[in-house]
Amino acid sequence: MPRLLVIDDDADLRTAVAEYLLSLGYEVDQAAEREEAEALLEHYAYSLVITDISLTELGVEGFDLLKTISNSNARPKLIVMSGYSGPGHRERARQCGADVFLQKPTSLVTLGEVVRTCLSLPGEQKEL
Amino acid sequence: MSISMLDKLLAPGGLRCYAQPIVHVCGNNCAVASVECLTRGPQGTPFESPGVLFDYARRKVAESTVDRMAVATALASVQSLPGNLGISVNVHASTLGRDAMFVDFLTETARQHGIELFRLTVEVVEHSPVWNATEFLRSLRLMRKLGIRVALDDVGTGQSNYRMILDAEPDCFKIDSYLVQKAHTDYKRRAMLASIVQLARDLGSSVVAEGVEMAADLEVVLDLGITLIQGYIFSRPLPVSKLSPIIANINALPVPSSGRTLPFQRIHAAGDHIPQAVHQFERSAAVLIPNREIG
Repeated sequence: MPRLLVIDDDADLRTAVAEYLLSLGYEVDQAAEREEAEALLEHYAYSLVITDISLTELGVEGFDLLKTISNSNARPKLIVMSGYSGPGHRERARQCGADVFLQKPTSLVTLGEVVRTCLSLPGEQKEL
Repeated sequence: MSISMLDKLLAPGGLRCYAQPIVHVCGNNCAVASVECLTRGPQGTPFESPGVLFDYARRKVAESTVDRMAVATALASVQSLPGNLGISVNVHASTLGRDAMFVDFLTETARQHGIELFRLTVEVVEHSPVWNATEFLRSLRLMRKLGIRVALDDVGTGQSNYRMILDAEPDCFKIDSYLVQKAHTDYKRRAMLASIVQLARDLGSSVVAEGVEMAADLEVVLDLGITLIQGYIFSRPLPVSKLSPIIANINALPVPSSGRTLPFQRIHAAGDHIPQAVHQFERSAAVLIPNREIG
């Protein structure tokens, strides 16, 4: 089963997402901060990463983390979740390697569908 | 504010100590000379892996803090082992270079647990080429003065290079498993091993071959004159509570000669010693929260 990484500094939200994806049968790791995410990405090959880019812990470095993820050897599919919806924000996420930009709020069911779709597709850029 | 992974690692029980025997092979006899303490993160998380754990610590520039906690956990765990066994702990070179009080901490922690300093070996590990050489060397001198031995870990890979050998003047070279494994089929690895053994002899240092798993590789390192062996062929890293019967079993084993019927089968027969992956993630049951809004 694909291994997924959920990055978010909101523990409740991160846990809810991770547990829902676990219930769908995925193997899921969680990271609350940049260094944690980078250490996991260095040692495990993830099929897909879901990350918020407005992380308190990450700040403006959130976009740098996107670049790190998209430039990693495993090159996982990358879903960005953000409460910011402006076209500039989405475009910057796309330029940093995001495959999907998912605007908050959204539902876990929607996220699950996006994950399933994203994993089944080759690395095309997609905006929902 | 959520609790960071660093907070979790430093909380009581956040780090756990496993230990792996280092076996002295002499003639036909095996004897466990010491154990290397190896740190594991929280069980059931990816940070159970020491690779991930210390990668994270280095990214947080928290090597010193994590090293202190790892040493404290290790010495508390091994205090019940027989007093004739050496005890190795891993410490970043950067910790020895930055944390001026680390040696004091180490000696005080050993005293608290009744561990004599001459039993201790500090295995210096490093993943960064830059460290405070003056403070690092001062820490090494202080440890030697107190009777603590210094080993250089991962010799042959990473930053454990010739400069580090010159600067650290290690009492012991621990040769990385990368050079040891498959040495029986690779003349280049054998040549490098022979070169390191000769260098260690010239410098008056002992040598440990790490990561010995196959009988054929054991034969190679023994033939090269390496008599301190560490690896799955004798024991995988185990919680200290499970180590005593393994040590007794290894001490009872003969070392076979050219027939090379190695101790593997006998150790397996003793039970609780089948090598297996360390990372076995146990997940709690997932909670389905359909259509809950995110964000």
